[in-house]
Amino acid sequence: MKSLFFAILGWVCLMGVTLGKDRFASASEHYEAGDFKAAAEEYESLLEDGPRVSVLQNLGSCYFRMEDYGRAILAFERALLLDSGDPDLRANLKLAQDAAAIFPVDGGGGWKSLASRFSRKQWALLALTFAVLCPLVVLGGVLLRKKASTVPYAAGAVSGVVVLVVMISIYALRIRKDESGRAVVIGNPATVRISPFDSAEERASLASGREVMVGKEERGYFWVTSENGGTEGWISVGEVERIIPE
Amino acid sequence: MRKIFTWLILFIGTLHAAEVTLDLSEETVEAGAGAVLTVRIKGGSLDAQPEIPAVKDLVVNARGSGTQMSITNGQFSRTTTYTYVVGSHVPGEYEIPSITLKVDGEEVTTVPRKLTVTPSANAPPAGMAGDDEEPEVSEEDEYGFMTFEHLLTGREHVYPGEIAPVRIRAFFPSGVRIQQLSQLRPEGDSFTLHNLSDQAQQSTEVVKGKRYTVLTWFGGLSATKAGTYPASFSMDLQVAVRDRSANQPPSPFDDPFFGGSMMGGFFAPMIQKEVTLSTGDPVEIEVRELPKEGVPEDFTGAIGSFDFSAIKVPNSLTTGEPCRIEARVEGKGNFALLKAPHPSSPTEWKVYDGNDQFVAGDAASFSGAKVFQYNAVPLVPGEREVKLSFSYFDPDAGSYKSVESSGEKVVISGEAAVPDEIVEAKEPEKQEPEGPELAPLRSELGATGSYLPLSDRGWFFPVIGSCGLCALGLFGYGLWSSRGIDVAKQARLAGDLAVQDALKAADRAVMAGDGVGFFLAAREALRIRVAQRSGVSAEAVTLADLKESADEDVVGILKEADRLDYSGRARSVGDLEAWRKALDRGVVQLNEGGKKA
Repeated sequence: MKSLFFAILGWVCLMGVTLGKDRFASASEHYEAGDFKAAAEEYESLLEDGPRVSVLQNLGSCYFRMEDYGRAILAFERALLLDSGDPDLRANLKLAQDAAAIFPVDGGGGWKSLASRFSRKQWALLALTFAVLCPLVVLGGVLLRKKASTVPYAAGAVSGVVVLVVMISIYALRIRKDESGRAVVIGNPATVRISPFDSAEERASLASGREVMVGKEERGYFWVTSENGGTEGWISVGEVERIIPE
Repeated sequence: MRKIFTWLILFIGTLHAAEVTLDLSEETVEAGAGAVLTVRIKGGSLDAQPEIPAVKDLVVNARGSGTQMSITNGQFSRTTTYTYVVGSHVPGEYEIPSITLKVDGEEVTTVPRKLTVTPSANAPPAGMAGDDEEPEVSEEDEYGFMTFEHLLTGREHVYPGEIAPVRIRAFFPSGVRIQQLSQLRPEGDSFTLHNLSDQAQQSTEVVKGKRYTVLTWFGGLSATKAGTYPASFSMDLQVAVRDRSANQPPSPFDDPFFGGSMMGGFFAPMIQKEVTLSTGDPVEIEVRELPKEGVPEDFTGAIGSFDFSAIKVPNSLTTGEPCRIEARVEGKGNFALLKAPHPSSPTEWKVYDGNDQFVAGDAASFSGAKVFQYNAVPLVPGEREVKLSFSYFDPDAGSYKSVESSGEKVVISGEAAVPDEIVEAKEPEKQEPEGPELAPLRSELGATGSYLPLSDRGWFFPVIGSCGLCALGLFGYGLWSSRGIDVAKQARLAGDLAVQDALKAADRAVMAGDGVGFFLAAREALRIRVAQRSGVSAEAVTLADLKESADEDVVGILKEADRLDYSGRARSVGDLEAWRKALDRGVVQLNEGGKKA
C-alpha cells in the first residue's frame, strides 16, 4: 500500500515537471517567433510554481524586447536573488538599466561596499557553512592533538578565521536587513504624490525601472524613498513592485 | 548771451531731419499680457501725442511720454518717446498699422508692426471669464464660504473620462488671515479633480454689502463611473479672526464724542481656528456611459472637440526609409487621452511611437493644442495623397466622430517593402530580435528556488548560536582533557621538585659539615636527574648508567656516596664546598644532556 502511494506521488511529480518543461519550451517558442507578449504570459504563469532563474531570465528578456524596462529590471533582479553570481544575468540587468536610463546609486564605501559584494542569500549561506565548520575544526584539533604538538595551534588559527567569517557574514546581513523593502518602479512613469490620495498634489515622477525602498502601505499607496532619500512620497501600489514578493 | 547760445544750439539741432521709429518690446505675448510699444521721435517735436489707430480686439493703453536732450561732441540732440502697452485677450495675429505723425510741420510715417497673441495658460476656460452672479451668503459663514461652477453648455450630464472645466472660489471676510492646510479636493470618490491651477487668483468683492477677499482656482472635473452623483469640493484651512466679543479695555475712541468706536475692534485679540470649507449643497451630476455602438477602431478615449490645425509630411519619400510626420491638433477636452493621428491607410505605413507636447490654452488645461511627432515608414511606392485621422467622442453631440486632415501629396519611390499579397498570406516567421545583445534564452527549466535568504528563517540564528556553543564546549573539553593526561609533564615537574629538595638537603649537610648526609642527598639529586633523562626509576640508576657522562665529579660523588652507604662509616671526605660545586656542575650537565636527548 505504501509503495503504491509513493509510486502515485512520484508519477504526479514527474507529470508536473514534464508539463512545466512543455510550457517553458512553448514560451521560448513564442519568444523566438517574436511574440514576446505571449511568451511573457507563459513565463509569468510558470512562476506560479515557484521562482526559477531560467524563467526569470527569459521573462526579463521578453519585457526587455517589449521595451517594458521596469518589469525587465524587476525580473533580472529577482533572478539575481537566486543566483547572484551569474554573469549573463548581470549583463542583462545592465542592458535593461542602460535602456531605461537608470543609473544605480553607489551604496557607499567601507563595510557597505563589502556587504554589497554578495547577496543576502549568499551571506546567510556563508555564515551557516562556517558556523557548522567551526565546531568541526575544534573537534578535529581536540582529537588530533596527540599526533603532533602543532595540531592545537593550527586548529586554533583555523577556527579563529572561521569565527571571523561568521561574524562578518552576520554583520553584512545586519546592515542589509532593510533590503526586503527594495522595489522597482513599473509605472511609466510613476507619480509620486504628497499624500496617499488620487487627488493629492504631485511631488515628482519616477521613471520605470528606478529602484526605490517601499515602506508602509495606506489606501492603495506605498510610501517610497528613492536615491537615498532624495525623493520621498506616495506611489500607487500598481506602479511599484517589491523585488522580493510578499 | 546764454539764451542766444541755447537758441543757436536748438536751431542747429532742427537742421537735422527728424527720425521717427516704432518699437515693440515683444512680438509674441500671451492673451491677457501686454507688450510695450514705443514711438520715438529723434530730432524734432510733435504737435500732439500720437494716436495709435484702433484695431479690433487690440487694447492700447498710453503709459506716458518723456523727452531726453543731450549734447555729444557739440551736437545737440533731442529724443521724445511715447510709450503704450498693447495686448489682447483674444489670441491671434494683430498688425499695428503705420502711423503718420507731423514732426515740426513735416509728415513722417512709421512702418507697421506685427503682434502675435498666443493663448494664455493662465486664462480662465472659455465661458468662465464673465462676471458672476452674487453668491448666496449665510449668516453662519463666519470664516468664509466656497462656491463652484462647472461649464457644461446645453446639457446636464457628463461622460466618464470627460473633463469638465470648473471654477472654485473661496470667499473670506476682509481682515481674516488664512493658511491653507490642504489642497482642494472633491468629496466622495465619484469625481477627480485634474489640472488644478497652481496659484489661486486673488481679488476683492463686495457681497451683500460685506467686503470679501476671493481666491479663485480653475481645474477639470472628471467622473470615474457612470451614475448620478453629487459633486462638491472641500478644503482645510486655518483662519485667524478678531474676537470682537472679548472684553476690551476702554478706549478713548469709544467716547460718544467721537461718534462711537472709531477703531472698530482694532484692539480685539486674534483667535485661530481650523475649519473645513466646502462648496455647500452638492450639485447632482449625471454621468452617462459612453455609447457602445459605433466605437471607431482608432478611438483612444479622447472626449471633447478636436480638429487638425496643421500636418507636416515630407513630399518625397522612399519605401523602407523612415520619415518624420508632425500633426497639430487643437480643441477642447481631455487631451491626455488624445493619441497621435496616424495615416488613414494603415496598411501602407509602418508607424512607430513618437512624442507629443501639449500647450494649454487656459488655466484648467481644458483647451489648447497638442503637437505630435512620430516616425513612419512608407511600404508602398507611388504618388499618393497622405491624410491623417483620429477619432474622439463629442459629448455635446453624444456620438463618436472621426476627423481626417487635408491631404498632403507625396511621391514615394522605391519598391514595395512588404507587398500586399505577402502581408495577407504571411505566416509568423521566426524573428531575430533587434536591439542590444541580451544573453541567450535559457533552455533548461531548472529547479525552483526561494527569494528569501536563510537568515530570514526562524531557525537560522539559533543554529548559528548552537554551533558557536558547540565549538566553545569542544574547546573547553580539549583544554580540560589535555591538562589531565600529561603524565610526562607532571613527572618532569615532580622530578624537578625532588632534585630541588635533594639539593637543599645537600646544602644543609654542607653547612652542618655532615659528609654522609651531603653525599646521600647529592646521590639522590643525580639519580633523579639521570632517571628523568633515561626513563628508568631513580632507585635503579647505577654507576654504569653514568659512564657516558664525562664529568668525573659526578662519578666521584656517586662512588663516594656508595662507599659511605656500603661501609656505614663516616670518614674524611675533604672539602664539602668543592663537592657541592661539583654537584651543581653535574646536575646542570645532566640537565643539558637530557634536553639534547
